[in-house]
Amino acid sequence: MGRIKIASMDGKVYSLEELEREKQKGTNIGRVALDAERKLKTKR
Amino acid sequence: MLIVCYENDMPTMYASYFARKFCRGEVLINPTKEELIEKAKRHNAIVIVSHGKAYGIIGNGKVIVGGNDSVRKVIYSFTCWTGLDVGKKLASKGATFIGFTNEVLFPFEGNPESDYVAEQFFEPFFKHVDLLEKDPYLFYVLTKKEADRRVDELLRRGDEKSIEAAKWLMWNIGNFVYYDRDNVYREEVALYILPLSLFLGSLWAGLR
Repeated sequence: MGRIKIASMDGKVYSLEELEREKQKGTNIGRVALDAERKLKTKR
Repeated sequence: MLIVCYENDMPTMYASYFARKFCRGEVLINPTKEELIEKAKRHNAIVIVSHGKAYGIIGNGKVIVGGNDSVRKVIYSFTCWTGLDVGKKLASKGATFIGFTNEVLFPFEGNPESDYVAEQFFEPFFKHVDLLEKDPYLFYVLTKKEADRRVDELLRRGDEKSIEAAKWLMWNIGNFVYYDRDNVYREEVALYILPLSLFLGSLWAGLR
């Protein structure tokens, strides 16, 4: 059983820690991750 | 049905594994554009798992399907971004296009053969693929419903992996689009033709 990572169909792979750093940096993938979290919170 | 997978890196290989697991049909791996065109002649619906840009479906580093291509078939483009532009162009020329308007992101653990989180993500997107040939719009609607149902189920389970699968299912289904010639025409009317005719009408009324 491995740790969860996030893959993009454009070929990139991110660990959850890397995704967290991208969120802090405000990159496109970081904004996507924030948006995905916001949608999840709204749903829950 | 033709299932075309470009296994150009780890994410596309992973997605290819699940497309081949859940879809029934003739499978083509990493074909050239010419090989794809030849094989596609015998099929009404094509599932393409690959990279994508707004301007085209990319395989082996080249544009495999672009906005200038005339493909009068059902295309399910499991790629990033192709719903933004190329999908509409293909639909305006007679294709039916289903795809995504943003990056396609999915959670995974490392071994597709025993990957709970990736399976929860991919199954809703490929479960109803058999419908593509008969009723692509029904495929689109049922896929969205299946994703919603799966999100609810995963959130009820509540463990870390289920939550992660639910999060990315929700993100991607929010960017999932369907275009055929009729709805592209309706969108053009709503966005351009109707405002332009209203503007010209008010201009004409002002002149009189």
